[in-house]
Amino acid sequence: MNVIELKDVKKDYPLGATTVRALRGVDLTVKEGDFISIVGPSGSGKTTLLNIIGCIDHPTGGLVKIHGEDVTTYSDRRLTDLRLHTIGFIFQTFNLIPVLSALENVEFPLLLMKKEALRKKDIRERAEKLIEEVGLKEQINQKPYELSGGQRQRVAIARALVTRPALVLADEPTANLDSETGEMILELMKELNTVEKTTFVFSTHDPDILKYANGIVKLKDGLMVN
Amino acid sequence: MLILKIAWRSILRHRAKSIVIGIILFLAAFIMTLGDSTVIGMRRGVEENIVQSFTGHIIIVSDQETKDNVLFTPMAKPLKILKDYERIRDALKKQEFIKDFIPMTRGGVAILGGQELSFLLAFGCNFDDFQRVFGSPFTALEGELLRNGDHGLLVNVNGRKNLYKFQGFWLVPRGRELDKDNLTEEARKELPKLVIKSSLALEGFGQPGSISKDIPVKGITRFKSLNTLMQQVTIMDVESYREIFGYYTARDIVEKLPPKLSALLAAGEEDLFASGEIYSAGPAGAKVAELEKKIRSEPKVKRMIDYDSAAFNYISILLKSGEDLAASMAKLKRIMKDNGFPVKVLSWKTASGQVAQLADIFQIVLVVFVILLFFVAIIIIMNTLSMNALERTEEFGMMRAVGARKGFISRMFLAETFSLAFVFGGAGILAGVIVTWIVRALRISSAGNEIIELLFGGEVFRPTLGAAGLTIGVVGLGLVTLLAVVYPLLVARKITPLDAINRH
Repeated sequence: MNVIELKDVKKDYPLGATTVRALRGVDLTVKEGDFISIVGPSGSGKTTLLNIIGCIDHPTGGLVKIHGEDVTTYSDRRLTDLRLHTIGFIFQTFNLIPVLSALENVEFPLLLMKKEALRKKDIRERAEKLIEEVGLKEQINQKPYELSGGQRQRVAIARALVTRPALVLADEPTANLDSETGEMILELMKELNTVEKTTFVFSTHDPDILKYANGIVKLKDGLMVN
Repeated sequence: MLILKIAWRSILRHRAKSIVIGIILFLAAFIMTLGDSTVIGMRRGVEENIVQSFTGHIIIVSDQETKDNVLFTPMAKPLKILKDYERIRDALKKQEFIKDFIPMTRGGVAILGGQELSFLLAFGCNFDDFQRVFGSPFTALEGELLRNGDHGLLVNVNGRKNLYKFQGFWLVPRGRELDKDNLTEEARKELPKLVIKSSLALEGFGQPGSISKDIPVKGITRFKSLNTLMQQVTIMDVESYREIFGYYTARDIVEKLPPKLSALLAAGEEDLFASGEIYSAGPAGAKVAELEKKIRSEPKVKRMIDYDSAAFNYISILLKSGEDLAASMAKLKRIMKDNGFPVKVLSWKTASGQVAQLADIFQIVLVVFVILLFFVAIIIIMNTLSMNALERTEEFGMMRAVGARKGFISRMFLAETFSLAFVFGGAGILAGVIVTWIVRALRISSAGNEIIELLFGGEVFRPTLGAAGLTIGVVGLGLVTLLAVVYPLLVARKITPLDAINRH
């Protein structure tokens, strides 16, 4: 089953009198359980592509389907709900809620889910389990500013996975980490991909981590090279 | 719970901004509460001092009056005579919501014999009745108040100063020595040749049949409170008033007729004269017309005759404590209408016209001041909150990225702002209440300064906060917070995950 289908996706950014063409017509299909890496030099359109797949940016043209549904016509509310229920994000920077502890950050998306309202106890258990899996049991009650970069990134991964999304998007998840921590995080992502069949799409500059991917998308000047 | 948790922790995290907003909310709430208590205290003071000492709550006048500000119109023509007074009186006596009432007369009187023509606004009454209804709102600075059916004038101390200024004489109550301490500076300079008078030659103004009469000054008075507002009031016994305005009843006329004619007429018209009705039509009216003809031929009685057994211009009504003015007026209007009385029912404020408005001006100034403060507070809070929202672009954008709807951001932002308003604004209201109590307990006096007295609404500053005042405070605080948060909220709601990424 296709989790992602992109057809001729374009994205232009106006920049003063000129227009920057970030994506010039990208076609991409990602199947369930894929572990796809998007690579390319800076400015090639990796982040833009991830943002469009993740429904946090709109394409200028083309078709974006998530689980077979065209999301380009979705309202803001539907896109938000799609992000909450279907997509997990791991950003390049460590975007955690500064006033919540590691555990509370992981719980956050579950607390936003009203329809599926889980009991508080279940939410807590699920979040604690994930925190433990990412190796932060000792730091469970610490605030983001009390954690190292790698620890924060692991909290972000736990948060991205807590809703059991079909798709996890990661924008250079190891960019700000030392190589050891970076490798550990990729191991964790790969394990979840293998065990939970979660689809991962991540961008990277680092050729060393490509070994984890089962598919590579190369971008250059807004076009897929391969 | 999640929203409140995030809100409170965010407040603590952004302490500096929270304190800035908090202090402004505190000050706004404090000033608003104190302002409310001052305005309410002043309003109550004015009401007590004007209503309870002179106008009453409700005024009844003839329905022939074209204007509603019937009491304090300068250089006013006399009000129309109130028809059916005795029946109205009987109807009023039956009403349980009425504490007491008094019939009065009111008109402009010309002062004769001065440097130039000037006027007094004279109110005629039975002064014993006046004191029964209104207590003792006057102090006699010189002379004495009217009593036991005295005929004479009670001239306001400021009225005396004006008379000196425009007429060139100084009034001293009849039978009293000049009190040099009370002279104005100008009068003191003129002391050796100061013209002193103890009576005023007055003539009813604007009423056919008015006559002039020398009326003794019995006292120079001052309203115990709000004298500046009420300085134009000159009290006169109703008999003198009626005389100079030519208001006579049949009974009065008989008393004025030469004994021989009086006896002759009284023999045939006893019932007529004793009844005290207004004679205008029917058999009684015919008799009166005949009587009038005879009287007009009598050279000693030249006045216009108004066959009103009790010639009054208006009735002041005091309500019982706790009675609602609007409801009482509605009741009274219905009673007057049901009985077919040709009258208008006016509130004291409507009837007092400019006098009540003058009191309002201070209140309006205070309210405008508080509103201006509100706007300043709103702008500062709005600015700080907007900056706060923009500084938290990453936080809000990230929340949106992981699935928080705009509504969640709104609720979180509102929870933060209203939590601040609740804590700091609540503290401001509490501080305002405490200061109100303290100031009230201190009983700050106007120290005789009549302008300050106007601001205080009486001799003593008595800020008052009831449930209404507190409600206004709480609603006002809520309104300030709501108005201040609208724009920053829109800013926060517009933040997208992309904004957060781009910002980084």
